[in-house]
Amino acid sequence: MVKLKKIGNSLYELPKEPPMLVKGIAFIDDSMAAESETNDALVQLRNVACLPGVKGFVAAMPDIHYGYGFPIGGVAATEVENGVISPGGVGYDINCGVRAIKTRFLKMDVQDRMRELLTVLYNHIPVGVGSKGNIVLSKKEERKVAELGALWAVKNGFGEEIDLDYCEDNGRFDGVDFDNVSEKARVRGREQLGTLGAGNHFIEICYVAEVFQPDVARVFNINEGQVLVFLHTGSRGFGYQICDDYLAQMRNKKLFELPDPQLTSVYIGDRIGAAYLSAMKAAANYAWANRQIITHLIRESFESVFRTSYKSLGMQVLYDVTHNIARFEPHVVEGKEVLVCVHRKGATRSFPEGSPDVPVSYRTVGQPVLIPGDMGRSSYILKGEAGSMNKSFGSTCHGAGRVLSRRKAIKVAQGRNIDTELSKKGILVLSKSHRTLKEEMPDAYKDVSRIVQIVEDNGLASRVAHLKPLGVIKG
Amino acid sequence: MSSYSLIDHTADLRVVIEAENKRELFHEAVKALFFMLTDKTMEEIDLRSRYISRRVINIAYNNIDDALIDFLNQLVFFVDTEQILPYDARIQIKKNKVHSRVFFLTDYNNLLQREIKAATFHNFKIEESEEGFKTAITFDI
Repeated sequence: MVKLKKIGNSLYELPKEPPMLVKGIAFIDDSMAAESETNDALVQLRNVACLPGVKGFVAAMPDIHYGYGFPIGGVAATEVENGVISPGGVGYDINCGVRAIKTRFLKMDVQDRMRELLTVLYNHIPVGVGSKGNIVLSKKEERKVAELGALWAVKNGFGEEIDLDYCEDNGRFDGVDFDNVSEKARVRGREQLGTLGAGNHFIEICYVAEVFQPDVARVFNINEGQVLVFLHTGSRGFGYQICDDYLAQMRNKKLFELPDPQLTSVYIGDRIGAAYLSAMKAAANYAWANRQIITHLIRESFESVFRTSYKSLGMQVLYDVTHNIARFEPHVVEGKEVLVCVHRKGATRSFPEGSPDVPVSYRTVGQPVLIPGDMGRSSYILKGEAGSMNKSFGSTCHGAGRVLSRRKAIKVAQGRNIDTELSKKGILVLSKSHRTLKEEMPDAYKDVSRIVQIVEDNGLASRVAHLKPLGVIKG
Repeated sequence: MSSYSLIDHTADLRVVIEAENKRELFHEAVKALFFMLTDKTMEEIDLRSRYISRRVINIAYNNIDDALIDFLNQLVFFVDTEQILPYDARIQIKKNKVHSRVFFLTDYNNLLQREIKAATFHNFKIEESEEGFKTAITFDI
């Protein structure tokens, strides 16, 4: 069992003890702290606290659950000079993230058209295991996708430049050297651009059930009853292969012993570290391009159903967040501002008002933080709060967090019809696979309302709007 | 006697593999991967009505642990890019080299149930005892 000391409301400390180099902070409530599942994930957080050059503390978000190497919902910042980069701290799905697209519709406008709308989306967007995209890239264009990210998509007719203003980092990391991307990664990504993927990736049509901060909602231009579309996907096989390639290279180097081989790392200044960061940025750009292309396909689907342009349907991007990334950011650690490499593995950036990284039009309130829950209950739009900057390296939760393993979920779903259960709640679901529906059923997740309450209580982010699902497409 | 069994993992899939020797360990890992991808054992598949493809995978290694993860990730690469499903293999291991001939089913769309991103190194180690070899592998899905 990990040693846990309660230090506040929904706040625990993992005291620093060998071989940890820093303490851990867990934003969890008392019942989570008592669960063996949480304990297993906190063991992983304790391992992360052993990474060379880790600064200040490592943090667990309330949606923490057991992953591989890093826990999902884990945050760690490492020194640039003497710290490491850990591909396991980013994950295989580099820049997996969430995008929210606004519409001018109210719930009542789309409710009766939901089956038609979902069917068009489902047929227009490649979803599910083994799906291929409709975009054929030349080798030259592959390089451009990796270098330009969402901008490549816009330049090629998928959306418009204003969309980029509402993506973290404008949907593009500079500093990509495509030569650091293996041929295998290129091949793996070649036919997957513009595909949703499978597992927990989804498109959800939802509506604003409640607004908590009307002033902020006005800045985000969202209102009670308004329909939005949430999109969750990442860098597909391109990112998976880059993570795999560099873990293998770093293991060959074997610079230091770590409690878990999946935490294999190299110093940021190491040749392999620099190459990984460049390739990771390429994968992040691929993911931004992917979400931009799917945004375009979503808009086309709405245009086809409602027979008018997406602009007249008010389909502007609210925001695009990443929750699997390593990013260089200045943070105050032990009273001094230092540049650190923040690893967010299943954690979302949560920058407050005034941050230069927040889009100009949102800068008076802070960045939107998009938190999908499960397909039967709720999702949330939060805003970044100043507390995140000194408590969690500018981070907050990324979702509800699994509570049941996939095998247990299937056992719990035995004899139940998840589509029918959801349909009785007014939620229409289309999925390639019944298995996925069972694995992803609402009972498999913690209640996201409980998760966002904890981040709000701790000043990491605050609730702006509560959303409820109307229709979901699962891969 | 070789075997594999899935054990609980909150977000991903974890499989325990036991075998009398290293060669069987690799072979059993192929069978386990097929089961995770399709929800079927290879014994459940009627091979007479299936198209089969073969690939040769050779790996030189310093560390057998890394070789097994590399081998599995090469199979995952074929699944993702060529849309073929590994179900059986002939394995030889000699002088720090794995020589394998892997058999794939081409009936991908009808059989594939789950996307696998990668075999991970999470808490991974091949353990040797008097009974043979044992390991547990976590797959990111």
